[in-house]
Amino acid sequence: MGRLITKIGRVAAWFLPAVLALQIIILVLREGFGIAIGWADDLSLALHGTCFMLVAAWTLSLNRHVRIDVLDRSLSRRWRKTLDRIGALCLLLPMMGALLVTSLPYVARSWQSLEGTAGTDGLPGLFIVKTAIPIFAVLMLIAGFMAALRKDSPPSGQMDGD
Amino acid sequence: MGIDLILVALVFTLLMAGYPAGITLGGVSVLVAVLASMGGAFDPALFQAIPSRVYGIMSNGILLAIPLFVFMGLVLDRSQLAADMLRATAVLGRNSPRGLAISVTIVGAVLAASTGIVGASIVTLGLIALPSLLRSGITPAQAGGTVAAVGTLGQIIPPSIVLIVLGDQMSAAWQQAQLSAGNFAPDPVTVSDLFVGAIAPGLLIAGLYVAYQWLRFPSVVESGSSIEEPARAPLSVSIIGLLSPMFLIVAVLGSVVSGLATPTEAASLGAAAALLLALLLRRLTLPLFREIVEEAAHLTSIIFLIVIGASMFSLVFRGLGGEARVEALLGGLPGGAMGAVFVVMVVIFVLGFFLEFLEITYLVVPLVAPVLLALPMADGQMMSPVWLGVLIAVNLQTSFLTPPFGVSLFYLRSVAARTITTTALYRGVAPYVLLQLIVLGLLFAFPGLATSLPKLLSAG
Repeated sequence: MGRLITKIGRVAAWFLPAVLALQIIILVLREGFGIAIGWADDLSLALHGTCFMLVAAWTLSLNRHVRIDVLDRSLSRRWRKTLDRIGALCLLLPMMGALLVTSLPYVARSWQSLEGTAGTDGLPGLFIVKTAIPIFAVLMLIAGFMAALRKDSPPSGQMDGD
Repeated sequence: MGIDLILVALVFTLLMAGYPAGITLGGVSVLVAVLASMGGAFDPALFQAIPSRVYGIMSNGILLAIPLFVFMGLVLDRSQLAADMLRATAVLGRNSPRGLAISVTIVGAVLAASTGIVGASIVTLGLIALPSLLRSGITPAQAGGTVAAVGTLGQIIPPSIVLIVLGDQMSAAWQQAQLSAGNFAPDPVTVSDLFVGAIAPGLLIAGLYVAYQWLRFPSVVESGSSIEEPARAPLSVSIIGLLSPMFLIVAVLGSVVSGLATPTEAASLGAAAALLLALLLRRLTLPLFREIVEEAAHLTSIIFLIVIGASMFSLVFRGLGGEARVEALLGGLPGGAMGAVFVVMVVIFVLGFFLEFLEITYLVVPLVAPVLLALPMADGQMMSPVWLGVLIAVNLQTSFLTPPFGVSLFYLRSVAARTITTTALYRGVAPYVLLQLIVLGLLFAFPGLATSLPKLLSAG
């Protein structure tokens, strides 16, 4: 399961350079050739939106999400572990549970009408983008509970990749 | 005792416990809302608004600028272009501690502007500029204070992520305030307006830093210390390293200020140009590019998880009737609109010790800004949203620098704990905090400092 979360995150991370390329193409076409493509802007928003929704669980599994620890920046490992257990049960579960329960009918409605974005040259397939919301909730729940139940010590949460 | 107050108290207490902030915000809000709806104090139909709110964040065109700016900053940072700029300053200022401190301030301001993330710019500055500052003969306190202060400049000098999220929230607040005043077609407030409004105060702050360094730092190298390092790169290489990223950042900023490009377009141009530059200088390898892409995705998801959690909080807070309470509280303060702004600024300053700019922007601004913007000013004019936004940005920047809780100081201590003691660092930043407070006071007394430039540009 952990590997699946990492894999999804790794793939979704590449939506970001795709957004960048798309934005440059939009700019060049508009400024250079006077061509405006309505759906291209919608597509870059869709990629951007799904990117962070699908990467968030991977980030959580690496313990990279911002924590506020004013009083003691180097909390003991045991306290961190207890905190992660209580947090997963009392904070992550209600938040993602509520998101999952409310987003399922929301997304189902979108699928029923095969919703696209507004406008005459809107983007079809908006229902796929919206599906990222329940997927986000499920992946976050898995990543959070895996972190809480982990036997070995969690990653330090420092910047990686040196 | 209102449930809205219980919610606020719970959120702020539990955030301190140290579970990821975005999840804490969302989780507490949902729990409180569920309990309140059992007692009839919360309309459960409001839960249905959660997914459309999340989708609203996913499809918010203003926030699209954030990953692009993050990407640009990471390219400059990871390809060592940012480090080159700082090394070049060490060459330029090699004969004078004063000259070195001033060039670190100028380059740091530009560099910080490109990343806009306090942590990243402090770490880079701390690793590269701090050692040469220390060798130059100024005291560790002065060197540490300079690096901590310069690292926060990215919060206020555009294009900063703080200004983007503030712009997003401020434009919503402005719409709301105008609607409640009966104006159904208000002029929109954009992120570009906030960028332009922040230029004069940002330059004033950087200018005061430089003036302080000019007056207080020694002008010549003392005997026994030397800035020169062995194996210096030739000066010509340094100058290319210094000028090209600087040109890039000035171009990005210029295109926004002149109205040629929206912040999102400028961000994508900047990111593409930074990539091109790194490629031309042979700094970009495929593994490094992959690392930058993944790191940018992490940083973006870190930011947006907090935005999602905070939007759940504000939904529940409003559902519990908290808005009316804020309105009554701020409207009843002595000193009218300015008194209310003053109180809010003090609250934000204190919150800045504990929370990051994102939490503050998404928790506090949507609650107070619509109320503040609708309060009548003494001269009968409407309060300027650009002024309020820039004031909040300078305030947050000052708060992040203020001992003992300023985040900037924590980041610096994490990379320079051995060379600088905590008390020396506090002594070193004190003059900079004083300068910040002066600018904050000036900005409060003379809103024109923030509003003149946007007015001038929109008129011309």
